[in-house]
Amino acid sequence: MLVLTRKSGEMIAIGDEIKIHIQEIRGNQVKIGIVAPPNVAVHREEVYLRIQDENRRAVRVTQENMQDLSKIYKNLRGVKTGNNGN
Amino acid sequence: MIKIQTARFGEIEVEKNKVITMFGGILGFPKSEHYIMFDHEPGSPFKWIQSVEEPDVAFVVTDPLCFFPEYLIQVKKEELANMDVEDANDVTILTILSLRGEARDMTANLQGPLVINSASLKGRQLVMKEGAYTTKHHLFPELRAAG
Repeated sequence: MLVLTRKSGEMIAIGDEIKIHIQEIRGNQVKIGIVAPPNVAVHREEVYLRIQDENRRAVRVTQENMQDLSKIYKNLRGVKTGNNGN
Repeated sequence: MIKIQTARFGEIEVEKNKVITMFGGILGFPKSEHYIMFDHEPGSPFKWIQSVEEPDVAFVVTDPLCFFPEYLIQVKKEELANMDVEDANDVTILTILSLRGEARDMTANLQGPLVINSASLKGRQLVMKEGAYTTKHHLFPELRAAG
């Protein structure tokens, strides 16, 4: 990992298209501005990893799962309609 | 028309102008930037989004309001960058569903919604910061309570 020390207001350039701007430092919080092209994802890492994990799980859903899911949904929706006094 | 190879659905033919571009892909799947979307079955709230590039990659999605009528997110203008949004009504929010066990335990990732401009078919997956939503919200909480 490359480690740089910057002051409030200073910038870091990554490649030609990515810029990191240290906007404000208050206590142990730093406000960072980021310029990046649309195909580069920029996120808070811990949430990013959680969503990535969940996506990797989601890709394993099978058509069989979906057949079961559809049945459950239709049953539940049928029950709900009945309860609405139709 | 273009032909797409898919693991679940065989070969699919689709019009080029129906292909959705997801900027940055869907997190964890950087090789897949283009998807096609279709209903799981007629009248179903569930849709599949199938990768054009990778036959194995497909996700089940749904309109989160269908199961979570109070779902409300704030989307910053920058998060809609390059999606060519001209009318806010064109912005479609979808949530990816996943599974740990049985279908009744299906969960929705409300923290990582897909935001797609239905007019331009350009979108991205958003990463919401910590707050009201997590990556796992049960579609059928009443089934769980019933044990």
